[in-house]
Amino acid sequence: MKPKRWGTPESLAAADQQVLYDVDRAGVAYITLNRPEKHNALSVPMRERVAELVAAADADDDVRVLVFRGNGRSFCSGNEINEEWGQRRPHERRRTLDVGYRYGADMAWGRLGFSQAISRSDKVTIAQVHGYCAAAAYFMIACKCDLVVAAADARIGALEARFLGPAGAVASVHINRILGMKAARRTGFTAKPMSGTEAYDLGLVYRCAPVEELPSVTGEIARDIAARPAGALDFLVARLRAAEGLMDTSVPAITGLLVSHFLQAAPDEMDFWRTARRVGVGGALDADKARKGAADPRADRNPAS
Amino acid sequence: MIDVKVADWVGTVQVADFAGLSRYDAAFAWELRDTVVALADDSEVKVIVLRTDGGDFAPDVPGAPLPSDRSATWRRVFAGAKGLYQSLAFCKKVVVTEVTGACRGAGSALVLCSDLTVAAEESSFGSPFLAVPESNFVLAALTMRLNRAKAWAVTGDVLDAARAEEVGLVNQVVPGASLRAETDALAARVTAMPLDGVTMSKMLLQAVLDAHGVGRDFDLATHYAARRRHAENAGGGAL
Repeated sequence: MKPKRWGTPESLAAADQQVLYDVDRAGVAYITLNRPEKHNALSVPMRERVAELVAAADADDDVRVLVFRGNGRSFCSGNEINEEWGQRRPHERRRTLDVGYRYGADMAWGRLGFSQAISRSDKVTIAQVHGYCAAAAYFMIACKCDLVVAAADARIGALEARFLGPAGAVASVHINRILGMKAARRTGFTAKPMSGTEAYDLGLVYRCAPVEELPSVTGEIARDIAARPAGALDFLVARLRAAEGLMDTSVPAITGLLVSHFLQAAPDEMDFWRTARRVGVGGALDADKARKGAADPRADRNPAS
Repeated sequence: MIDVKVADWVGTVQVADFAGLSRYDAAFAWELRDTVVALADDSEVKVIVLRTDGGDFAPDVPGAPLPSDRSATWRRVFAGAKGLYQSLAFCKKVVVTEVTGACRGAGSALVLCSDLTVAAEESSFGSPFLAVPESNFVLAALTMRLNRAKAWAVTGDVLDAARAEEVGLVNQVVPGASLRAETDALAARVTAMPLDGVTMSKMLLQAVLDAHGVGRDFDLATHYAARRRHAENAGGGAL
């Protein structure tokens, strides 16, 4: 008997081409998100495939370093909004308890989930970030990797906080350890993204580069690390994973996820959802700028930093 | 040889360098540990300064012997609760490290265990986590933030003094010629605090560090040493 594969027939069939995998001769494996028309938004089967590919890299002695990257304009915009899990009873709400549990496991506490596959990988992990790195891509991929190499003008952050609430970005142990508490709260409570440069200053990003140089800079860093003695890397990764376990940074806080499911929008906030239904979330964020007192996550696109 | 002076509430510990710790010189380490504990117990001391004669703080020691997780001496002197590093990290007085030149291996472990660090402009800092399995990664993550500490470990990057200050590993970077005077001035400022206030703060700080996992990471040193030995055996040679 095989575990159920969540998703629609279409999303299940597309996943292999939406998450690509290859290993170069230097021992660097690349997991490439390949759904550029959706800013590489992750469907359920795509997340499953990421977890499977991390397991494949972990099992391969020739792989020393694992790089996550995205094709197209963005690294990844997070999980697909209103994703279809393919549950059998269409009259049910989008998230049944079965689905909710699995979603929570994926995002937070579950050791089967894709984020913990990354945070517990036996290899050194690197996120190569350009364009948008938002929501789940921010706190479940980039913040889970050992190193982040970012384009200076990347837009990184908890953009989902505007409509799902800021709890995950504010309360997650690992984000607080990476950014510091004030910065973690600012990213959550304002939903304002960080540029790559700002993320470097705050400690999330290891190296910034102009976007056109990002692949070569990342590749060089990955190859340098892969060239270290295998035993040394093996020991260091095991050493770091143990300490991260002690600090509870390998397991993101569940709070944010749970809180997001109990959100009840006020009437004027419902405008956001109505607009989103009509023109998509990006359009709703644009329209939201006009609302008095609303945070504008897309403001300050080119900060001086 | 360890030279100790106590004056004006400051206990100063001066050695040629701290590389003996990277060589696992147990006699040196235990004498240093005893000195720190004795100074901490001295009611005339509020601050303990660790300094060298002026050369490298802790130069690299290629081919240093591996600590063995089976060694009772290593566990007692280096990795144990009463050993050197925990005596420093949980010291009841303020510990200041004064760094000049190369700071590698055990030297960086000392810096992580100290409360304050003043560094000369030409100093540089290598990650201790490969060579010194009893060094404390949680302290690094708390000091530099998590991702910087991870990158320091896995890339093998050596941080120059300016970068060490940017990431929070060092409090102050000064010209080498004024290093000693600046360290003494910093120590003198701390001595302006009431003795009981200093001791109470360090007592409270111990609980905070433990809540974050510092003590638990120290407790796993034996496992880290065993894991390192396993990696070395599997690779057929030194890491």
